[in-house]
Amino acid sequence: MQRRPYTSRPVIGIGNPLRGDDGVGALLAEQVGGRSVQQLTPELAEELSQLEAVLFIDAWQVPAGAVPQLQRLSPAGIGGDSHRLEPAALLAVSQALYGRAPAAQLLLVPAHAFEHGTALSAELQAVLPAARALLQGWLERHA
Amino acid sequence: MTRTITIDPVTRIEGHAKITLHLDEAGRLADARFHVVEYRGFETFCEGRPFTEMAGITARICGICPVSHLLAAAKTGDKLLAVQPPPAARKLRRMLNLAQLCQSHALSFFHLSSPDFLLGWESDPARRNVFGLMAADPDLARAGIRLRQFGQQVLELLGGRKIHSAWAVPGGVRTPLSAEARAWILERLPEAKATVTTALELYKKLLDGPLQREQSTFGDFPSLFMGLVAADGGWECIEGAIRFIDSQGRIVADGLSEDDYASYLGEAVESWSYLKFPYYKPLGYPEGIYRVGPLARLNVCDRIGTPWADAELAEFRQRSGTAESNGRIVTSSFAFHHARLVEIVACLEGIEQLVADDSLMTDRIRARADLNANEAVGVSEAPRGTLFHHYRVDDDGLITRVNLIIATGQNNLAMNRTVAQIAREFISEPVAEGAEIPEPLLNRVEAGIRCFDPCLSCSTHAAGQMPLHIELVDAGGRLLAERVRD
Repeated sequence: MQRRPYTSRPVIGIGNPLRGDDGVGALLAEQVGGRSVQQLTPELAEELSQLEAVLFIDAWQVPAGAVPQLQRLSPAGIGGDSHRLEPAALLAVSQALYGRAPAAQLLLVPAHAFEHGTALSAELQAVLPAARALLQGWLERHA
Repeated sequence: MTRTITIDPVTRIEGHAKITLHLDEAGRLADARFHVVEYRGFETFCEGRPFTEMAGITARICGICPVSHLLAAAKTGDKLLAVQPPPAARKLRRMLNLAQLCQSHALSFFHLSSPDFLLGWESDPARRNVFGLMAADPDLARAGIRLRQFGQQVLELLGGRKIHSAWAVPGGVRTPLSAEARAWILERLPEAKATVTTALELYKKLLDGPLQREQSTFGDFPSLFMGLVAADGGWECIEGAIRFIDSQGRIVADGLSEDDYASYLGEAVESWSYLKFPYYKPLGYPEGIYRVGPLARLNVCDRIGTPWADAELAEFRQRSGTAESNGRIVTSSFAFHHARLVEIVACLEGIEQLVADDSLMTDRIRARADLNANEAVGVSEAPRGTLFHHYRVDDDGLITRVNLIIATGQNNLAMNRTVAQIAREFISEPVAEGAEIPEPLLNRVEAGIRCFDPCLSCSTHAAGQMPLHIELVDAGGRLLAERVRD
């Protein structure tokens, strides 16, 4: 199979930028030259298989007071809905179809408001610096 | 006492719905209903917006077939401006729609439907999906994903985005075909053709063997078929005029303009579904049942117009055409799957022809004008069938009324009839009290709906009144409370 170089930073933001805090993944990913998707689909698996490492960023619906977290991911949970995959399941698709999956982490950003609009909630804005610090640290380790 | 069997939710379709099977007092199937239980109301919140925004707004109705709405909206906008887009723009729009049909049909066949007939109806339902297909046949799964990716990438190369592109505009399109796009398409076309060749060979083998019962019992009934055809009667996806043909192959109406849709299409409403029930008006409701989409497009056309696709169309008719029509018309709804593969061939050949056309690289791709009309209707062939957009605007170009007639809705009567036919075939009547519904029946009823590849996100935009019927029923089946809004 012909491989092509990954042209942007291996950061994938997940979420809808028109639904408030749900768009935080897209916002952070695009700010560092990554890409954003509203949902993960099997078509991304081939691209993933060509990466050494990938960082997913997603909104995290948790009670107030939670802080951003980085989680390690392993391929798992293949099955279910082909329209909307969890990051671990997408890694599993990459492993199953292309023989390898990148080292992956998931940056979870606490999110609280999902109404129509592009504004982020005050609670989310308060933890954005911490999320950016985790993102920056990951980029430095995977430069 | 009559009883109801509910299948809820229906999986692997675009949206959410439930099916109820209604038994009579003798335990025999009396009726089947495909309930669409989501409502979004796009038609109403378009009101007050400039008509120039409609392509961008309506494309967001759906993440699967945004291009269909984009093109229908742009064509409606052409009429409001009273302009004819330049020839290159019309060809570019056609190329976009061919790529859209290709990617959507690949999704339907490989991701959603093929696990049923490639992994077997009796296989573990938890694994009877595209992921099970990946485990069983990774080469085919990978090829299917890449075929869809091909269509999506053509959309992105033309429109700048895979989904929700605002590239087609009233009067034309925003950008021409680039040299980079042309090179990429030419490089990937052979692989896409190889994938559909493999899929066709595989599917025909299954049709000759294990799928014969499904072919004859999944919605095989007479009805009208509707779709666009070119001026010479050829297969069409964006221009041309409306044709109705019946199950005997007789052309019932031809050369119809989308402008006059209200004279030949009626829309009935039932209290138990948000999805309307369109019908062919001259025959009345429900006798005016008609089908749209890949099967209908292959039935209404005289030919496709490209060599490989025409050969596949001939074999499609030879294999599945009814004796009553001398093999001209295919009436089984299960044949939607085969029709999708034939249409992918037509799309790939069409894209191959267009990409070689140097005129698509011109900058003369958009006609500009002020508002010159207050009402217009546009039409395109979406993956699931004929899509109408009807706008009225004030003198400032602000929308005052929208009506969208969506393909999935037009297949509503046929989907209900398909469910009933499958249930009668696969359920043992009379159904005893407390009988279990076997998994193969559940899956076949759902699979009957999936033949139509319904997109409920698109089709639940009923304008104006929304029928709503809420029942509160206790565990014993007694109706405790009911509220009806007509």
